[in-house]
Amino acid sequence: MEEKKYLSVTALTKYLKYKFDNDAHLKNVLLKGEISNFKRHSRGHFYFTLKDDKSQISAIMFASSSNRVKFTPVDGMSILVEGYITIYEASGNYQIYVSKMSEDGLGNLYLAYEQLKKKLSSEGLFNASHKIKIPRFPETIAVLTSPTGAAVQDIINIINRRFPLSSIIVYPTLVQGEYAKDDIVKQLKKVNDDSLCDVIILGRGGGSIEDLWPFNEEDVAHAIYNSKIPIISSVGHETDTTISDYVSDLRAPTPSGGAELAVPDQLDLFNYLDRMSNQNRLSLTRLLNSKIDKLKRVESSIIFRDPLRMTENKSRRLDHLSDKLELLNPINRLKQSQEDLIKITKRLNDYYLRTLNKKNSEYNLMINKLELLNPLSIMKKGYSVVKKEGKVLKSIKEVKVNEKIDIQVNDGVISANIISKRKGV
Amino acid sequence: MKENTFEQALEKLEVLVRELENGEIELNDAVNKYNEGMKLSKYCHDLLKDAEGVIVKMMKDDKLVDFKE
Repeated sequence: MEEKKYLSVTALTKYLKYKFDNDAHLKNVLLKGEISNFKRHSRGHFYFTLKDDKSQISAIMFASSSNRVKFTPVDGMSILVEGYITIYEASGNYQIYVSKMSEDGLGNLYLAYEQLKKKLSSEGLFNASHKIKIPRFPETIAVLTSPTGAAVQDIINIINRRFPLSSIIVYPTLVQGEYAKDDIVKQLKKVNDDSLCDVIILGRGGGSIEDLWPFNEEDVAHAIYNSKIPIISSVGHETDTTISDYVSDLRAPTPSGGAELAVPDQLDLFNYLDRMSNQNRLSLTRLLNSKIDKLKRVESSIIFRDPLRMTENKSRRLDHLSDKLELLNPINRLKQSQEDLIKITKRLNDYYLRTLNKKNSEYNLMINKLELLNPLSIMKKGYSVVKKEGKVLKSIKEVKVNEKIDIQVNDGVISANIISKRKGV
Repeated sequence: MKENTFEQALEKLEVLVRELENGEIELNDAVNKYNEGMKLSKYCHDLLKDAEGVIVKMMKDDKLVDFKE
């Protein structure tokens, strides 16, 4: 009779564990079910049972993974888990070791969102290089949202307050429910076909993740990407981020925020215009001052300040020569020569002074002329420039009675008609 | 200057201010640029100040109609 071989419990369990651990199907299991007997261990591990209407399985999720679960699991909740199956040798139970957990339903939406985000990102739909710049001063803004509702009113009010020079075309769009996706795509195409607007605000007010879902649709993402007109995505509240936000050229936290990003604020523009005017004034003043400085520098140069110094060298040379002569010549001859020399020196000095005075007055004349030519100073004194069709008038022959002329005075322009003209000054 | 949009006028103003700031310029030319700049600044200012508000239309059945709440 054949001898029977008995296995120890441990040996069997080890064998079964080996079988489980080497089964490819059990290494990565996606499982959905309902939580029961949920316990959170003081160290953060989750222990629970996952069940459906016919079966159940023990589940454990270690703290290292359970840390990342963003909701609080409770009994009765439907969840989706990812993990591997193995046997716990001490009790002989098989159980699932969970690495990821999400809520079913809502959880599916999150999963779809994450997957689509990943896919579109790898396809380059979020690339910064593809984004179109929002114009500095949009003339016409397309608003794609529900024509009723608070969002459209908020957008209109803010644009009206900030930049009342623009106009708005509302493209009534379904932004919620099953037809919203196709309607958004259709209206985005329509705005592009119409080509009446230079920026698009696409959005809606806040709502649940299901309400905002049309803005997470792949078709909508592609429609945004294909738009030739820049789009400001303005969906929901600050905390909501949709696929549309990533694809759009600019992301606003809310519809009101979208309006603020679309147009500049006129208060800023008034300040900016003031700054430009001041800069203008400052630049002209600086330029005038630098010209005046230049004149002063020339005026104070050595030749004007001390003209005699120009002749100093010459007279010193003459002195030197006269010294020489004194040595060479007899005394009477010398005396005569000395007198001559003094005369010559004086004549030379006179000549230099005369020339310098002449140059000096020529220069003063030029400075006066320059000052007279400066239109600002002439006009400040009450003179004016009379122009006809932008041409400066110099003769009565250039105008006829009843013709219109412009008189430019210091602070503006007076338009006038010719009543009569007569010769003479 | 009537044909200028706000944007065109502002851009012209910015160019003038930059040129004048640069300083390498004849005095006469500078005075002209200054006057022109002041005119443009006032023009932009008045455009904004006198704006009567945004015009709101709605695209309905391929036609632009007045937008009412």
